[in-house]
Amino acid sequence: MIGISGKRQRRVLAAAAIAVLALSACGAEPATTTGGSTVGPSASNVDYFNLPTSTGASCSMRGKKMIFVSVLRENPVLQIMAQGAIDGAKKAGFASEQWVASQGFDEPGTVTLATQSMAQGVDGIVVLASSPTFYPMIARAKAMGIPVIQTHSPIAKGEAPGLLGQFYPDPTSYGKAAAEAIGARLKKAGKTGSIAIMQTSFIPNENAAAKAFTETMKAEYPQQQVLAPVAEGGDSSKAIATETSLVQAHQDLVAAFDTSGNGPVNWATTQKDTGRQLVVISMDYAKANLELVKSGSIFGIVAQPLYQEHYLAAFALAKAICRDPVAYDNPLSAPIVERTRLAPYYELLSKVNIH
Amino acid sequence: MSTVHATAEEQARTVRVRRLPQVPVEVGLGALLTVIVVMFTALNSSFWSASILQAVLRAAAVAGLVVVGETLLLILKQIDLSVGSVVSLSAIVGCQLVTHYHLPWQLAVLGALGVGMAVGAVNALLVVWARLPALIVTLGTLYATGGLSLVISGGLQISGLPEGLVGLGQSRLLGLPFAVYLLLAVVAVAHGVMNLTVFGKSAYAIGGNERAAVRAGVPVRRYVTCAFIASGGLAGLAGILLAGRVGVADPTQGQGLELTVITAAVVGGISLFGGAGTMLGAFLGAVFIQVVTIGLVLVGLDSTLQPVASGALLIVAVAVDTLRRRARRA
Repeated sequence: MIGISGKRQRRVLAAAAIAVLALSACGAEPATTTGGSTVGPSASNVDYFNLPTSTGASCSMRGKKMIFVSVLRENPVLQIMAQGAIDGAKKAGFASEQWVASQGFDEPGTVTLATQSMAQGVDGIVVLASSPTFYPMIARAKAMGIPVIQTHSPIAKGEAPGLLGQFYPDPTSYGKAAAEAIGARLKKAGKTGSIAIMQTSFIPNENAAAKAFTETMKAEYPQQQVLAPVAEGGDSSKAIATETSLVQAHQDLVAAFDTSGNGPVNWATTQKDTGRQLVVISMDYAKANLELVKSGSIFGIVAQPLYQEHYLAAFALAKAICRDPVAYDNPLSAPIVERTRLAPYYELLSKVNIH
Repeated sequence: MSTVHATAEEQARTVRVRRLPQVPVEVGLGALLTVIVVMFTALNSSFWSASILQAVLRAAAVAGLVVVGETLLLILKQIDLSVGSVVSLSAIVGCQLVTHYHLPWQLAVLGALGVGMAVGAVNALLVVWARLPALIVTLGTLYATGGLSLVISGGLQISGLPEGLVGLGQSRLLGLPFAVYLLLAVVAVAHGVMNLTVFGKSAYAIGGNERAAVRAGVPVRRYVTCAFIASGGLAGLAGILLAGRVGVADPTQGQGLELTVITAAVVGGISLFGGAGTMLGAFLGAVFIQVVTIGLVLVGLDSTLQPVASGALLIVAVAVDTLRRRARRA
């Protein structure tokens, strides 16, 4: 750009290279993370909602290594999930466990990291296979004799060759439960009107929950009108603007069901901005969301078994490594948690050191 | 024969381009904005209301601050892709200062501003002094600052912010949040600086022809360094305001914002080739993006089609910019 002497230029370039390397080390590349750094230490006596303490596997996990593979390393919900997988692996007796994750929604990058780990030698994999991008990796693991258990987003049997089993919150079931809770609340308050559905994006899990919500509301509370789902994306400002538009466009809006983990924060702000009080149910027991339910800004949250599904997946993995039978489909309940039932979730977050 | 044909075609094209009306971008964008507002209002009367105007300005407030910094760099023929991550890093650092170290919230604001400026200084060091391409450097700092947000926050949201900080994001005057007034003030000052000061005029000169600017004795390195630091600082300020507004700092906040602000700037008439455009235009671009986003929801367009509309908008804006440049050359 501007003339600098050769010697000085080399010095500046060297300094720049060091700075870039230092910055890169801070997170430029997708990184692997073990239980110690971004997820807390193992909880010694786990009984977070009656979880088992023994895997029932027919062999020992001594000397065995497992990895938990996911995208979105920076996401608070993934922190809870990873802690469940790490704790489950420790309880199952694995010699080592590692969270292999990329930053952002980088699925190909995550698959690359997992493939590298597989090449270095692992005995089992728990993976949050958020899309078919992960299916070839699962098939490759199967070919290498590494068992794979999947979590969170259900996959039809046979769709991901090599997948041994899966643990997930049933979106149809919690979509129905959310509709029933909102419907009952509106009936009690004597309110009738439109109900918004917001999704982070149109992925199968969220679509299934939205569909179940709409169908249940139509069947059980036909006087309420459910609007077509709207995608809100990941940017809070944009999501709040979209929600404000919905509130403005539908003056009779009385409630909202949001399948995004940022939904509670976004809807609380939207209600403040518009001065409208809605019955809102959204996702996940992150601490900020629990606080919003506690303060009454949000009616309730869908308590997906984020920790539990991953803990149980690690247990199932131990059984799979021993070649013990593992059921393919393991749907778990995701209750609607209202203001009066928050205490166990605060306790869980506190015990697993996620605040 | 073919050469004669080609020349004739070229001449005809040049004449067509010359005939394009040469109105200021702000006027054109203002007119387009009016047409779109009328159109959305015709499709849904509730679009024309105080609450929608407030929603547009509230949504534009955070992104708008970042647009101002990005515009300054684009005029200088530079780019900063790290702004999205700077928004989250500054929010995380600022909120940690008050929740973890129990410092006064005013220091959180200064801390966030400082973090943004520090990242801007790193960008400047690498781009201006080490002569590395801005696109690559800021892409690197986008990832690096995103990683730092994760390390500092442990990947978790920071809630329980003090009232002062929440008030900064949520307090209102005449129905509009403080952030909107701050944005209007920043745009006014930046517009003035770019049009009335030596720095502003030099910035256009640098973006238009850097070598000529150097030969004319313009302190190019200093000005570009200042621009990167200002861009980082504004992103830092936007980050802490966003955290105050939603009451939470989150390592995912601001993700993808860099593309939104570049789109807003380009729609607002800022040339990706440097040396052209105004702060007022960029501000109108930010408002325009929000009007379209909100309007499409209000008229009930399937939300899967909304990214298509946004993408088309960006392509049209770049095409118009290219045509204007050709017309100017012709």
